[in-house]
Amino acid sequence: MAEMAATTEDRRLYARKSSGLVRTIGVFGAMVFGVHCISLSSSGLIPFSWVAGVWPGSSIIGVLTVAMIFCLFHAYTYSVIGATMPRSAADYTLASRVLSAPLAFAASWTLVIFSAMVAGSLIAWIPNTAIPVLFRTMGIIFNNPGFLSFAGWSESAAGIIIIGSICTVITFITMILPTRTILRILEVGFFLGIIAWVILYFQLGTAVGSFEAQWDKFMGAGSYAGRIQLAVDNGMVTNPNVAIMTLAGLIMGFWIFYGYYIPTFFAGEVKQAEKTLISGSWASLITTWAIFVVAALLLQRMVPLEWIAAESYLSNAGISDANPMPYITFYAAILRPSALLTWIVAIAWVYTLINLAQTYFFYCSRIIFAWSFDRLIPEKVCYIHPTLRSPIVAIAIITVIAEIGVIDAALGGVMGAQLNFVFFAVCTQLVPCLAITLFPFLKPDMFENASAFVRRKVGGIPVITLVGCVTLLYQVWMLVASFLFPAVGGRIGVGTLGTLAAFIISGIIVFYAARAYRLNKEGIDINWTFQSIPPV
Amino acid sequence: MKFGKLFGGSSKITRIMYGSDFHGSELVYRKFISAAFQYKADVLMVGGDVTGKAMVPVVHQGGGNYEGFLFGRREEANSGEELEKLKNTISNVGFYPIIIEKDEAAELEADPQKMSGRFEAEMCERIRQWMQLADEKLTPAGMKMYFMPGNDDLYSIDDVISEFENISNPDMKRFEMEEGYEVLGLSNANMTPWACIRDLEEDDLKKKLDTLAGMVQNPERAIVIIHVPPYGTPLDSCPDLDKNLKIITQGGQVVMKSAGSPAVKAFIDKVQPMLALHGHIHESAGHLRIGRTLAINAGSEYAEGIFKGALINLEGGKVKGHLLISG
Repeated sequence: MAEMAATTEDRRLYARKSSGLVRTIGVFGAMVFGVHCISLSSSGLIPFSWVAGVWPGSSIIGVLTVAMIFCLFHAYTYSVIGATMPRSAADYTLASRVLSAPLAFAASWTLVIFSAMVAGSLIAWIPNTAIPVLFRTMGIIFNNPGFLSFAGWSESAAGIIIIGSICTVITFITMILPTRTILRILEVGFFLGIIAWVILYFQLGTAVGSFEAQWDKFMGAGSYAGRIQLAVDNGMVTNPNVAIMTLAGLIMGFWIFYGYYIPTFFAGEVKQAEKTLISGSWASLITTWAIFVVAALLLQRMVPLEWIAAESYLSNAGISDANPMPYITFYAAILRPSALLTWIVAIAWVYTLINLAQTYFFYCSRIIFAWSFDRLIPEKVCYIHPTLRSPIVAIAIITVIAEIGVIDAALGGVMGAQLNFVFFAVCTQLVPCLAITLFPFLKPDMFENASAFVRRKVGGIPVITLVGCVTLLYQVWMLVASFLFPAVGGRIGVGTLGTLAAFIISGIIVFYAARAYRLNKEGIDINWTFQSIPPV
Repeated sequence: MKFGKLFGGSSKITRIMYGSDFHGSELVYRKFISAAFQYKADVLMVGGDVTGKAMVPVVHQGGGNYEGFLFGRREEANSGEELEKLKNTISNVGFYPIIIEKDEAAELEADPQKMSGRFEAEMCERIRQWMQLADEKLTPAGMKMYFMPGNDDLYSIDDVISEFENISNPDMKRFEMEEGYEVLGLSNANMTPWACIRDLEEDDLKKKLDTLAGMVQNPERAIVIIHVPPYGTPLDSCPDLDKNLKIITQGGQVVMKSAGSPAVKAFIDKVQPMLALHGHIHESAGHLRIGRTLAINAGSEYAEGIFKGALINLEGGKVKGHLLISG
């Protein structure tokens, strides 16, 4: 007889003793990974070092807030994608089944290649930005020429390639370790990142003197007072159209928060994906927004926005003679100098940047596995090492592409590459977002059988269609704005568009080549896997 | 031009449609049957865990109005048509709707024996309906079905399956197919945190597998359906649970662990059947080669109403090709 296990829950459900009844991941767990993917280190620098100076006079908190609100819609869209197709690479899986398999694969293919390259450019940020900023900070504060010299070498092309390659190898090694070890590394990184921000808050909140006095103490007498004029002399114009600059800033906002939706790629591993994904992505978005906004408030308590913009502008304009240091870590360090605290922040910053690259490696490998399930790539790519239990071949491929990203960053420009990433990411995301927006109409049978979260309606219209439309508008705006505002759009040119086209076309070629091969050799049509199966 | 025509035809292919872990979902089972026709399968195979996990009481509130709760949400039915729709919705996610009066519900809740008996009857009845549906659809089309229970299924459903001539239960049995292929199976699993009815200690499982190995006559043409996947492979990875059966997370990620059977891995290593079909771990759909054996876990998304299965082409004593499908 069936053995009863659960209570009758007020006459709602008579459950028997059987496997897998209650298995959920907590909001905190889902949020932690989202925060990792956003990154407390790289994203923490951008609002102060970049956003402020692109349109001097723009509100850092305003851009962060408006972007965060739009990202909530985007996060909802991706949560529904994960809830609809709760498996690895839910976005590719959904789009291939709802819209077009070749197009979905081409989009996914492009996303993976460029994500791996951006993982490399993020690694390159360690020698290009994180190390120079932190060593220059210590060099200035503790008057150590050796640190200043090392900072200079670190950001040279040779320094980026050498240190970046070492960090790429470290990332590869850590990614082929057993999964539990990788997760432990990520867990340590999360708490290190939090500790770093607590230290920054402490330093910003307990300044030993006024900002002006502390700045001048380390950067030279009169330096603070002359900063705005110096920026104006170099072309800074304050107070452009606030509405336009906020809208244009959405690109940067998306870049800052990019990553909150990545847990969707792991939807197959969570139970009750509909609750877990939405709560995790929203919680990670709001948490990081709050962390950055609190820092902005603490800083703006002591420094006018125009001054922060001027310092950022001098950095963005490449006025190296001015020795610009528009970094929140530097501001905090000069307000309460401490070698120990600065070192802890430095270690946390480098560590979490490697964590960020690890998350990119992680999700790229999962997407590759999803392609393998659909027989689109050779099975050997997904070989699992018997001892390490890790997908060593897939990780090696991603590492090689990431190394190309490191070299590209050394010879080109990390900022440009990462802003191009927004353009690439949005282009590839249009496919799954369009698929989920039209899902209720293109696949009504699947929609009707989906979870209540997916089926939610307002006034007879599916919520996901409404939210999907907002998300699509947001994405289209980011594409348009990339051309309208080259300063934040990564200066999209013929080369960028050509690269995008080449990736997409190569993806379509791979799809049809795989299909022809399977059909010829195995008598299997890959297209079968994307078809609907109506019940008898 | 179609690729098939472009590359020409080939010799006789035996096509298997494999699915597992339907967990009572009416919709998923009907999709499974439909898929066999859609993809022109010759043989259907089911890898276990076919019964549902819960009954949903739809209680008569009087005046032809009914009320029940699905996933915590109150559902009402105020006409015969609405009641049928609600029953279908509940059945499609794998639960059993039971239409009862309030006093009957109270009686059931007060008597565990009665509750268990009702549950068993519901499970057997649905399996019987499924077998009848298969018989109706498959027999005229000349399709054969091998339908094996899993560790979550009561032994009483074996008797229901055995009532149908064109449907075979390969649990600890051997059947011969055309072209010299043979089918064998094992419904048991190693111990799970839920101690299900067909869970066995690893040593006992090994003994049964040893017996099964002795039944294999031609490993090169053997298809073994073993509910639990081999240990330490991409087919047996599932979330690790704490003592309260909650998922363990670390660094914001779900901690995964192998939950397959070392004895099954040893069986495959030793016997090297042509094809090993598994289920049990829903999250771990996939395929891999273990020596010459192609091992497949079709996975399951029954609660979402999605059928996940595998199409396998056999030709000349070899697996010519395979594809994981879902829909």
